[in-house]
Order: sequence, then C-alpha cells, then structure tokens
Amino acid sequence: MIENLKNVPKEKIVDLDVRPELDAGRDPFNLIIKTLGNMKDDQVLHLIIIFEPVPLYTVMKMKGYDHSTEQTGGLWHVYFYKGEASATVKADAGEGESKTSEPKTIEIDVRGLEPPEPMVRIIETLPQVDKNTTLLVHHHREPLMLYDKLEHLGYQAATEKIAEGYYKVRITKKG
Amino acid sequence: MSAPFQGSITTPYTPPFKVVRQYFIIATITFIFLNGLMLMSSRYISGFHFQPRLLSFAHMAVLGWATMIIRGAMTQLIPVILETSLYSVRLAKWGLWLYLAAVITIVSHFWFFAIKGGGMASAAGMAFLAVIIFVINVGLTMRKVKSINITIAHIIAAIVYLTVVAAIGLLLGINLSIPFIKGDHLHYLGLHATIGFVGWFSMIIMGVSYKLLPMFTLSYTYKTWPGWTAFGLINLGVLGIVVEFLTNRPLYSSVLIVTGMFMFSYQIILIMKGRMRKALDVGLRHAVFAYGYIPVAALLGGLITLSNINPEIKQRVILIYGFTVLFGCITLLIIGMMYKIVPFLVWFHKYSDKVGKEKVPMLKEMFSERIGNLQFWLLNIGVPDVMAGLFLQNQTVVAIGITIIFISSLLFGYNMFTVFTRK
Repeated sequence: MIENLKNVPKEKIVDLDVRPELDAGRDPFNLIIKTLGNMKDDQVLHLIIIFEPVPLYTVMKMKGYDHSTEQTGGLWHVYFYKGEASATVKADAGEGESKTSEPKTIEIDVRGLEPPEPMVRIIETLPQVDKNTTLLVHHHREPLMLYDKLEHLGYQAATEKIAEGYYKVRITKKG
Repeated sequence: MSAPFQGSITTPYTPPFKVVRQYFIIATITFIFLNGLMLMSSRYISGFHFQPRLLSFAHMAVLGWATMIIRGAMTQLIPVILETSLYSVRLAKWGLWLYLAAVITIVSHFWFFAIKGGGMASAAGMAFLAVIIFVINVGLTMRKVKSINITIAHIIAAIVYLTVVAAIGLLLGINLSIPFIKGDHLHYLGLHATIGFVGWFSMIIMGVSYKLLPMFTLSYTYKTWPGWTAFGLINLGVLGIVVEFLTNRPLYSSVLIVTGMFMFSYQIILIMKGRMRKALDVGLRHAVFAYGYIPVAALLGGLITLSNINPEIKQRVILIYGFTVLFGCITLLIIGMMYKIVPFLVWFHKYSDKVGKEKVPMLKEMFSERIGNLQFWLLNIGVPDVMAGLFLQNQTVVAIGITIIFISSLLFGYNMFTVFTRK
C-alpha cells in the first residue's frame, strides 16, 4: 500500500479490476467513470490494470482526483482520491534531509490549469530549486513561453512528451 | 547535478513582443476605421461587386485587418506551432511598414478609383513584395521543421496560395493602369478572390485552429481523418477552379470545396466533443460562432457557383457571401483568438518577471469579460442583420446592422486598449 493512503480504512476503498474488460476487448474508460459516479468524495478508487493509464490521470485531475501509482509484477495499482487542491507541492524527500547532498525532486502538477496559472506556480516554486533539486512539472503541453523565462532566471528545462496532453518538464538550476 | 534524463534541452525563442504588438494594434485600428467608414457610406454596400468603394472596403478588410493580424499572429505563434524560432525578426519588423504602405495605397486608389498613372500598379507591386517578405520568412522558418503535421501542411498550402493571390493581384493592378490582359478583367478577379478566400484564408484558419483549439480546450483524443479529408478536398477543389479558369470548362470543383468545408466542421465538432475544459470563455464563444458561419458561407459559395439563380439575385448572394466570410467567419475567429492570445502575451511581458515578488493580476482581470460578451452579441446581431439587409436590398436594415457592428468594434477596441495599456 502506498504511504499516504495507509491511514485510509479498507471499507473506504473501492476496488475495480478492469482486466476482464480489457480481455473482452472493451475500453474500460466508461466503466471507470461509471464506478466513479457511484462513489462518495471520501472514498478511494483502487484501479487494477495491466498498463499505466496515463491519459486517465489528466481526466481524473479535471474531476478533482489525485493519484498514487504502484507497480507490482506486470500489474499497476492506481489509487484515485480527492485530496488537496491541484498543484499541491509535495517533496519526495522528508524534512531535514535538505542539508545532505542527496538529489531530490519536487513535483508539481499543473495540468488543466488556465494560463497563466501553470507559469505562476512554476516560477513560485523555483526558489526551492537548488543545485541538488529537480523540479518535475506535470504539464498538459510543452511550455514554450516558459523557457526564455527560465533561461533569464538561471534555470534550464528539459521536456519529455509522455502522451498527447501530458508532458514532463524537468527544471534544474544552471551551473 | 541530477542524473541524466530523456528529453530535449530547450533553447530560448520567444519573438519580441514589440513587433507583434505593432501588427495587432494597427490591425485593430484598421478594423474600427473600416467599420466607421462602412457606416458613413453604407449606401455603397449594394449592387455589383466591382465598384470602387466596395473594392476599397474589401481590401481594407482582407489586407488591413485579417491578413495584418495573421501576419502578426504568425510571427508570434510560429515558435508554438513549429517548435522552432522565427527565421528573421527584422523581416517581420520591416515587412510590416512596407505592407502597411501598400495597403494604404491600394485602399485609397480603389476608393478614388485612381487607375490613371502607375499608382495602382506600384501599390500592387509593394503589396506583392511585402507578401513575398512574409512568405520567405515563414518558408525559411519551415525549413527547420523535421516532420509534417496537419497544421504545418495547412500553413505550407496557405503561404503558397497567398503568393498566388498576391501575384494575380499584381497582374490585376497593372492591368488597371495599363490594360494588357486579353479577356475579362472580372474573370481574373474571380480567381483572385476565390484563391484568397478558399486558398489562403481557409487554409490558414484551419491550420491554426487545429493547433490552437485543442490547446485552449485541452482536447487530445479526437481523430484527425476529417481534417485531412477536408484538406484534400479543398485543395483539389482549388486546383479544379484553376483548371476551370484555364480551360473555361465547368468541372463543378466547388462541390469538393463545399464538402471539404463540411468535413472541417465535423473535425471541429470532434475536437470540441473531446475537450476536457468544458466552459467556453468569451474568446472561445467567438471561435465557435465563427466555425458556425463557415458552412453557411460554404453553402452560399455553392449557390453562386453551382445553381442557375437569376443574375440579379446571384449578385446579391455574392455580396452576402463576401460579407459572411469577412465578418462572420474571419472577423469572429480573429477576435476570439485575440481574446485568448493578447491578454496572455501582455501578461507575460509585463508581469511574469514579478511573479513571486509582488501581486500580479489574473488573466481575467486584464480586460472586461462583460464588455467582451456585449461586444460578442452585438456582432452576432449585426452580422445576420446585414446579411438579411443585403438580401432584401433594404438600405435601412443594412445601415442598422453596420451601426451595431461598428459599436461592437469600438467595444472590442476598448478591450484591446485596456489590455495593451495596462500598468
């Protein structure tokens, strides 16, 4: 079980195994959305699937759901939950570790936000990015206008396209 | 440093806003001026289309407003669309002034129908040169593109057509000064207008729409075959029109074009259906209505080219068609896209450096959405009103419609002024 969901009682978790759907050659999307429609806000959807459902993350984000993903063997367990507001900053490394030279990653998710919010969130997070820190931004598009800004502020970015509507932008401090 | 990771290291390539802003401001002023002028001389908006005032209005709209905005927007959007930097900022900068001089000269020569002497010919020559500068700038930027997508295919077609339109325009301009074309001047004018509307404008509008509409509405999962089909049909149709022109044989090419326009509408429906950002703001509402006018214009175009309606009615339909394309399709789409693009650009250049240091305005605070909405509805009352007035040949109805559109253009100008001058 994923760390931040440890305290969720079992009865609050709705399991949904979409493997039979996939085996039958159907798109599990509608089933997922239907199941979601019958759930309460404090419940967690536990999706069992044979690939990482990346496009679904964006759809769920628009519906206000965050996710945690766990891979065991050839299976993916994805937990969707209504949590903090979108684009909450969560640092992978715990407190007190910042003094060590361990590389750490700060992640923010700006998918679905109206411009200029994505840029504002990113620039506001920049002061936390030092030599050992990478800022990983989950974005719905390649943020072309941001690059000059980063250059100007002494940062650099590398963007990786994961899928249509999903880009990972990694921002690091220069030099 | 962190571990190496996949992905491209990016280089800066935002074009200077100063240049883009000049295009936008000049075009917006032209738009308001055009509406004011049309209001004061609305009695000329009737009858046969080859008339000095109508030709002047039409060129002010297509050159001074629509193409002006598109040139500016392309300068800005090319990095976004092509994911590479503009070949030359200097060409964009100096091209503007040459182009502006050409537009003013052409429009005023039409207005006074000053065809004696070489004025009209040299005006058309200047416009041709200014177009070539733009085409070279976009073309050389394209060279850096590695793979073709639907937007890039449309842009390539669009700039080819633009060159052809400007070349025919140059021939027509020379012909007005020193007649040399054997055969009918109006025959060539028809080709000039058709390639301008169906070639240049539709290709650029569709290509840019395929990029911007999904971006603004967050739509990713739609199929693109209708868009490619539309692309094929419309280009085949334009080619057919050229063949018809050269051989003087009716080939019913407009059937392909009309079908292509409907395929485009279907593609837009698919994009809109798959969108994740459901709410439509004032900019997108403009765009949606503009897309709605496209099949209407396509049907009118089909009516002109394919049916045997009596010549007097046909003449009215030609005017309605031209007006619908310019004010329904093109103007609504431009205004909508400007509401989406301009506030963000201004925000980016004025406030993005202040993020995290002081309070910066939200995009919604950059202009009044209420005025934008009012302007939107006025425009959508004015346009059908003028269309009806042209059909009924009722000067009063036309004048009322143009008054409403003029008020709408003032409100739009006010909103843009607010955005550009925001402290």
